[in-house]
Amino acid sequence: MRQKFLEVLIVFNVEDGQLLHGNLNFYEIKNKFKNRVNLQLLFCGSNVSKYLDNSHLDFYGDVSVIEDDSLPWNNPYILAQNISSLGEKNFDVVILPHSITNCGAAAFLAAQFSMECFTAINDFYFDDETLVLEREVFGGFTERILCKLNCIITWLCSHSEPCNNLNGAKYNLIKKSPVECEDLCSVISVEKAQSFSRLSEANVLIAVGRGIGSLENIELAQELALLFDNSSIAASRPVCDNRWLPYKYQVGVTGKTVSPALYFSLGISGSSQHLSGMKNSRCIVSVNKDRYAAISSIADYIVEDDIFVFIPAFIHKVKEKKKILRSR
Amino acid sequence: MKILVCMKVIYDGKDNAFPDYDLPLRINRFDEYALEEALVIKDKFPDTAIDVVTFGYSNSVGLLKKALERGADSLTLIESQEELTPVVCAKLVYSHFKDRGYDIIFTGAMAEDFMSSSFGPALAGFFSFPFAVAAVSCELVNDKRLLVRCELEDGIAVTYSIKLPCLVTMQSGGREIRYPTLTGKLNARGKEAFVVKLDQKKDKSLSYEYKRKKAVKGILIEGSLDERCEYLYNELHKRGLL
Ligand SMILES: Cc1cc2nc3c(=O)[nH]c(=O)nc-3n(C[C@H](O)[C@H](O)[C@H](O)COP(=O)(O)OP(=O)(O)OC[C@H]3O[C@@H](n4cnc5c(N)ncnc54)[C@H](O)[C@@H]3O)c2cc1C
Repeated sequence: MRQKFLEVLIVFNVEDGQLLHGNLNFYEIKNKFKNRVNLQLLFCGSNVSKYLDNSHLDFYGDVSVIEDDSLPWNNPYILAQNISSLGEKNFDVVILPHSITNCGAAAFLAAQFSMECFTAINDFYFDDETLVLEREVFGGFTERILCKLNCIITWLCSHSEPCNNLNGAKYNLIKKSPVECEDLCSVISVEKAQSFSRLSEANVLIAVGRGIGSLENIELAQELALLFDNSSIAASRPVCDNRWLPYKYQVGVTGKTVSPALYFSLGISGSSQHLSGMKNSRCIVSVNKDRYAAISSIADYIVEDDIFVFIPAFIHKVKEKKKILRSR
Repeated sequence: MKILVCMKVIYDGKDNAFPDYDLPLRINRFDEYALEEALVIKDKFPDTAIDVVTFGYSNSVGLLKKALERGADSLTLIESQEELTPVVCAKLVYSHFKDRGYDIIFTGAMAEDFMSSSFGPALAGFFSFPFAVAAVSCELVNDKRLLVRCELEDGIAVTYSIKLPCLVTMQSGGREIRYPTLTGKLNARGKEAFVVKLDQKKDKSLSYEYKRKKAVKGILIEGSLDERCEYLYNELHKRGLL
C-alpha cells in the first residue's frame, strides 16, 4: 500500500528583510520525514521580498508570503491570525522556530485547529507513523513524546547560517496582512534594553542563580570574580527578580547573550531560557548541589557541592596558589 | 471586572524520577505572578471578582487556599489524576468556564515542571480571545483595554494595547508577590474549593517517556574538597584563565 504523504507547514519569521530565530533547514526537515512529505513554506513579517530576493530559493513547492511592513510582527495574536488565514488546509504537522512569540502563536492555533501543541522541541523524528519529539523538562530530564501527527511544534533549531537555497521558487505574495485584528491587539511600543557592555566584554563571568540564596551572598560571587582578570558577575533571571542584582546582569533569552572564555555558574539549574544565552561560552563550570542539573549537560566541569562549602575553599586555594606563583 | 486566574500546583523535585509524586508540592511561580496581576487590578477596582482555577491533583487545594488568603474570591479544582497535555487542560478549563463572562484571564507564562508555555495561549485560542505572552505588568484603561508590557527575546520589551476580553500570560519581574494579610486569612477561612471531578482519560495516541540526562559533556570533579579545588584550579590555570 502506498503511504500517504504528510502535509507539513513551516513558518519563517522575517523582520526587515532578515530571517529571525535561526534557519529551519527544509532539506533536513524533509529527511526527518523520510521524504514522505509535501512541504509548504510560509514567510511572514516585514520586508520579506528583500529577504527572498537575496536568498536563493531553490525550492519547488508551495511558498506563501505575507508581507506587511506596517505591522510589528512580535505579536503572537496577529501572527496566529495570519497563519490561520492560509485557510482550511489540514496540516499534519506545523513547525515554527522556537521563540516566545511563536510559542504563543503555536498554542493559540493548536486550539483553533484542534491540534496538539508542543513547544521547545530539541529534536524530532518520524518513525512508524509516529512523530517522536524530544524536549527538556524540569531538572535535566528529557521528555520524549510519541504522538500521532496533527500537532504544532516550536523547534529549537540551532542553525544560524543560511542553509536553504530558495532560488527559483515561485511564491504567492500577499502584500498586506489579510486579517483585520489590529484593533483587538496592537503594539504600542517596542523598546530595546540599553546595552550593558560589561557582560559582553568580560573574559570571565561568575554567574549566580537562585541557589545563591540571598542578596548578602552575592558578595561571595564578587569575591570569586576578583580572582580573575577582566571578570564580571552575571545572573539568572530569578536573581534579578529578587532584586539581588539589577536586570542588566541577566543572561538568557530575555536578557543578554554572552560567550566569555569562562562561564562559572553558582547555583544555576540550566533552564533552556538561561542556556540559550550562554551555551556558546568557551568553558563552563557549574557548581550545583545536584550533579544532574540541566546545566551539567553543557558544562565542561561539574562540581557537585554546596556553593557555601566549595566556593570559600576554592577562593582560599586560588589565593594560596597565587601567593606561591608571586613568591617564585 | 471578572477575572479568571489559572494556577498550577507542581511537584518540586529534581531527584531520580520524573514526575516524582512523592516530592513536596508548590505553586508554579509564574502563576503567583498571574494572581498578583489580578490582585493589582482589584486593588484599584475593588468590585473586581477573581476566580482561581487549578487543574490537577486533589492535594493542590491546601496550597491554593493561599490564593484565597491573598485576595481571590473563589477557588475551583478540576480534579484529574492524569497528567494531560496543556492543550487538553486548556480545553477542559474552557468547557467549564466558557459561559462565565470573564473580562480577563491570567495564567503563568510557563509551567516549571514540564517547561511548557502552551496552556495560556491555547486557552486564548479556545475562547478566541486576543492575548499576549510573557508579560511583566498590565494596566487597565477605561475598563475597555489592557495595556500589557511584555519582555521578549534579546531584551526587547513590547507594550500591547489589547481589547477586553483578553488573556495574558505572566512572567516574573514586574511585581512583588504580596503575602496574605490577617484580614485576608480570616476572609478565606469560610471559603471552600469547588471540586469538579473528571474522568478524562489520557489521549491514547500520545505516550511519554522520561530519561534523566546524564552529565554527558563535562567532567564531574571528584575527590576530597581540597582535591577538587586543586583539580579545578589546575584546569583553569592550564586554560590560562587563572
Ligand atoms: C518567557 C520566559 C523568559 C525567561 N527568560 C529567562 C532568562 O532570560 N534568563 C534566565 O535565567 N531565566 C529566564 N527564565 C526563567 C527560567 O525559566 C528559569 O526559571 C530560571 O532560569 C531558573 O533560574 P535558576 O537556575 O537560577 O533557578 P533554579 O531553577 O531554581 O535553580 C537553582 C539551582 O541551584 C541549585 N542550588 C540551590 N542551592 C544551592 C546551594 N546552596 N549550592 C549549590 N547549588 C544550589 C539547585 O540544585 C538548582 O539547580 C524565563 C522564563 C520565561 C517563562
